[in-house]
Amino acid sequence: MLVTRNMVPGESVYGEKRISVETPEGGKVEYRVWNPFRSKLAAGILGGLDHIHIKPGAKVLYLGAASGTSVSHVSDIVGPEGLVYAVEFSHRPGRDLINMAKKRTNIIPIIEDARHPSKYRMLIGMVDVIFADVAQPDQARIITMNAHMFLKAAGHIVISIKANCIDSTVDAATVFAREVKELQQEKIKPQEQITLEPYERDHAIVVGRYVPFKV
Amino acid sequence: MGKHSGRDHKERAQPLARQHLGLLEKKKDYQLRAKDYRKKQARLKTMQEKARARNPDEFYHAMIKSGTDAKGRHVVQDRNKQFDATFLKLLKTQDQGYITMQKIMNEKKLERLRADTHIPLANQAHLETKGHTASPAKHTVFVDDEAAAASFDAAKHFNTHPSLLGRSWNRPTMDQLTQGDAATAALGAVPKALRHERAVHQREIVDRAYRVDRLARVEKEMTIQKHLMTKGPRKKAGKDDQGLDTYRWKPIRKK
Ligand SMILES: C[S@@+](CC[C@H](N)C(=O)[O-])C[C@H]1O[C@@H](n2cnc3c(N)ncnc32)[C@H](O)[C@@H]1O
Repeated sequence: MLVTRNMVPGESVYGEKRISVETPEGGKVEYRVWNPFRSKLAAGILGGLDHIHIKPGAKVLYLGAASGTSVSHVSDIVGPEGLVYAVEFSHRPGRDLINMAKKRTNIIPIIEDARHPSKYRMLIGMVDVIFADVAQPDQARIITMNAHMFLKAAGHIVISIKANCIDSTVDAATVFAREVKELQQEKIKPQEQITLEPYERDHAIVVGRYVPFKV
Repeated sequence: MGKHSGRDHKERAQPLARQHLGLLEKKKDYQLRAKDYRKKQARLKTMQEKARARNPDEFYHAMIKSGTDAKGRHVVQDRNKQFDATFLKLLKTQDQGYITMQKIMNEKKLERLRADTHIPLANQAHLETKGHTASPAKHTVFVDDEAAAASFDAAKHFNTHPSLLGRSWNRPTMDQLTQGDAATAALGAVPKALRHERAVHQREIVDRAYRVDRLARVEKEMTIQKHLMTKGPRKKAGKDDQGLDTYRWKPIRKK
């Protein structure tokens, strides 16, 4: 079972289970169950991704936050020292996201279209990782635009690709390969790719490194 | 309420002596009966006509689609053939509301199971009996050039012991292994009881997912059949992703 340490003990975000564990020192730590059938990032982790680059203290730009199911777990991981900028353009899930951010101070909700990063430029500093799950045909462009603007050199991108959101006429592997190529042309060096069976069909997560100039 | 004037007119009733014949037939009743009779006669007549004019060499699809079964009953092969017998029975005997309820119930149970059981066991055989064709997940590592690809060492890349490569989750790194603390030792072997419990959960997940899938199909087929019972010209418009026929109705302008 995959869990993250709950930053706000005693509260569930979307009805997930919580597990409380006593530490040897006599304190209590609470964990929240992270369901890979509901979160692609969790599916990637259980599928064996080597690195997700999201770690305690990291600054993460999360594109396509929806109502914040996965964002809440990312917020657990980066902890109080880290930051999650959560971008979502749809207002309805955006409301839930904002409500969640009230309790989780390391989340900065941004209700904007990720296609226009300059609109929220003022709100965001440089980040270590960009995670994207926007499920749009032009997602590669959305991600690289944001990377050029906010990602540190040698920072990482982690993107989730849903094949039939991009092109439903060819098979999934072809779509993944095409997306990887598109990222390469924009100075992102792919590192690993994993498909998300059995949790999702025709989905993949690609991890890459941003190399804006040769060293 | 309608306008009511004058006195009520009572209908003439069947005389007592003729009571055994049922209600007294009125002109209106007779007209209906006569019309029905004439319609049936006309139909019989055209059928007789057709039978007489039949060309014995002509081909009809029904000739190859229909036949007699083992007991000599006339059967027509139809679209329902795509379902196995149990579901066909279900289709005919149960109503759609029940199917929908069952589907939702199974979906909920499935969701709950999945929330608790994350780690799949590779029980491919069981998956396949349930019609799963999902290929196992594929992990690709990108390297710089051909030479690097040729000399790629997975264990080294993932910094783990070669024997642990088959495991996608809880794969300790070499550093964790050499430190050998109690926590990593625990990662090594999964207790038998836990393994058993997981296997049982896995099985139930697969079974329920299969059931939800079948129920969704039956539900859809029922909807199609319900629509097919309505009037209006329609055409087959290919098959959907589940292999069921889809139809298109000709748009009718409503006044
Ligand atoms: C597949 S959902 C993300 C689910 C979420 N990552 C999770 O696991 O909980 C994709 C989301 O991206 C949002 N989205 C799509 N295009 C976007 C854009 N251009 N800018 C911002 N958000 C976008 C959609 O509104 C949708 O909520």
